[in-house]
Amino acid sequence: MRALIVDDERLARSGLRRLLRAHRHVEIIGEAENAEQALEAIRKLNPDLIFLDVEMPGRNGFELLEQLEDVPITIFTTAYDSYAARAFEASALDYLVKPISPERLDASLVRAGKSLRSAAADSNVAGPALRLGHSPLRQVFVRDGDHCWIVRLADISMMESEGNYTRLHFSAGSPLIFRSLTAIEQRLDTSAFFRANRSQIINLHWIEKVESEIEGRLVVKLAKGPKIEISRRQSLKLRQAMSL
Amino acid sequence: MAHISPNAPLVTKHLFAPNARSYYIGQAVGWATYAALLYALSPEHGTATTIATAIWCVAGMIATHALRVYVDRHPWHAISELALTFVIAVAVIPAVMTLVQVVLLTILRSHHVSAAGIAAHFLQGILVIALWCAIYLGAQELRRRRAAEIEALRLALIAQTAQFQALRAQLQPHFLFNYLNSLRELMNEDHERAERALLELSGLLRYTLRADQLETVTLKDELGAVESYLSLEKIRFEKRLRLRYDVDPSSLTAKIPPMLLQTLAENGLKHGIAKLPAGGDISISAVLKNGILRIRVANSGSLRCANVSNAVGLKNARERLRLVYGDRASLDLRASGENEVLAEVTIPRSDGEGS
Repeated sequence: MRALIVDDERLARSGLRRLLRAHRHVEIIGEAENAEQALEAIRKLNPDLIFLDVEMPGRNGFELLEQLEDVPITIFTTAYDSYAARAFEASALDYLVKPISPERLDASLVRAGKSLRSAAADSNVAGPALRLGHSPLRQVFVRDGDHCWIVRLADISMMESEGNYTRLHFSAGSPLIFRSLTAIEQRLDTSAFFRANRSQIINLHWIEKVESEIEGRLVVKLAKGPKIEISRRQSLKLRQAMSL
Repeated sequence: MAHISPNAPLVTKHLFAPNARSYYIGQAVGWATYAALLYALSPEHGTATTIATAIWCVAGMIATHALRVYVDRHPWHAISELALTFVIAVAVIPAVMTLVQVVLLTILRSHHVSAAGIAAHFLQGILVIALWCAIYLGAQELRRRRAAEIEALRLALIAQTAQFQALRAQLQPHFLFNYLNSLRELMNEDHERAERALLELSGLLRYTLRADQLETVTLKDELGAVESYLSLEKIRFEKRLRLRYDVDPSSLTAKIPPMLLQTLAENGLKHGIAKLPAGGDISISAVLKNGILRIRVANSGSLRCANVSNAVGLKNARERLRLVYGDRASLDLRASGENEVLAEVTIPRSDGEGS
């Protein structure tokens, strides 16, 4: 795993570096002292994993993630009290409290390894889906009030346009992100995501049932989700794609 | 009753309920005493007098109890309404008592009741019922005042608890975990420095815990704690934190509330330096002039972004100053330059402090 350490304190960075020495499969490809440096390093080095301090001068860890289109696997590090730690737990984000215990670090790295492998498996299935030279999105960071999520694209059943925003539907919630549906579409893996109509994109893996309506239009029922009407033009494409 | 809001009933069940027992005891003892007095003072002592006295007093007791029940059940919104009820009661109850006695005595034929006797009974009844009303309302008012007092105490307690909790949250060494994290790495890097830092940390913790129990400390003690605190932060922030002290030696014996300077330094760091990627300066100065201690904590940063989260710590510091010095001390926070925030405290040097 290629990892980036983001922390404003030199001692905190070197401490983590020392702890990571015990993990040979983790290669530290860089360090950043603040959000700006981190942003640059992430874009340039494209790490698999980032260790991210929440409290930093300038933009904090969350604000950094909001700047990223595609979010690497993230392990937050924080000296926060238990209250803040609970907020992380509720949002199912992985975090380590400082001082970091080697056992907790082990557990987090195991989890990170697993998500990395499943992401790799996803993109193998996806095949050659690259567009505009970008790799398809793996996960996105979303913040809605006090809640934060790092959502794997595979977990999103549907995306819905709301003006300049897009609402993401997944099991834990349906927050808005400040990006247009069209902008997101360009970075999506086309073998998984399908434009259903002008305002909705669906995840094909989440389709439970397909019904045929008049004039050959299709209506799709998503698992644990609503029925989505497919526009006439797109119905044709969907039939081809699913070879119905 | 003037301070009761117009919508609150003047007499409420709530006020009666816990005191029902004392009412019954008062009612029984009062009427029994009255009956005993009446009997003792009457010219003849015999069955007829006993019956007459008993009828009179029992009638009075029942009638006043009826009055109490009526007053109790009725929500009173105006003092005039309640007063009118009692005035009417003072006229009606004696009339009822007199009527009951005349009728019963006539039926029992034990007494001959003259017109003068009826008038005398009625007048006596008025006196007794007026006295009853006075005692009743007096007791009622006493109870109400006590309830108000208890309520005021309760509110004060709530306020104090909240203040205490706010203070504790403020004084909590939330910097602790960051230090421990830095210290752990420092142990590998520079053993001696880590050891010194650990001692600083112990001293600071001891001071913080003890500070809760003291009203004032000397500036020297507080400054020692603040220097420890900032030296620990220096380990974390390294070159990003630059410190300057300018303390007039004569001011060191002056007394200040504990954690005051600490709060200001912490604020300056948390809302100033920690927000600046390039870091900045914190300078602390103290002078004693004309019996007034003036402490200044200046930090790089801007007031704008500090304002909101700053409020709690500063509010507590101000409150502590007010508790100890009243209006004679002040705490002022302002932007003192393009990129500097200044917190300034003035404290009168209290009398009797050694110079």
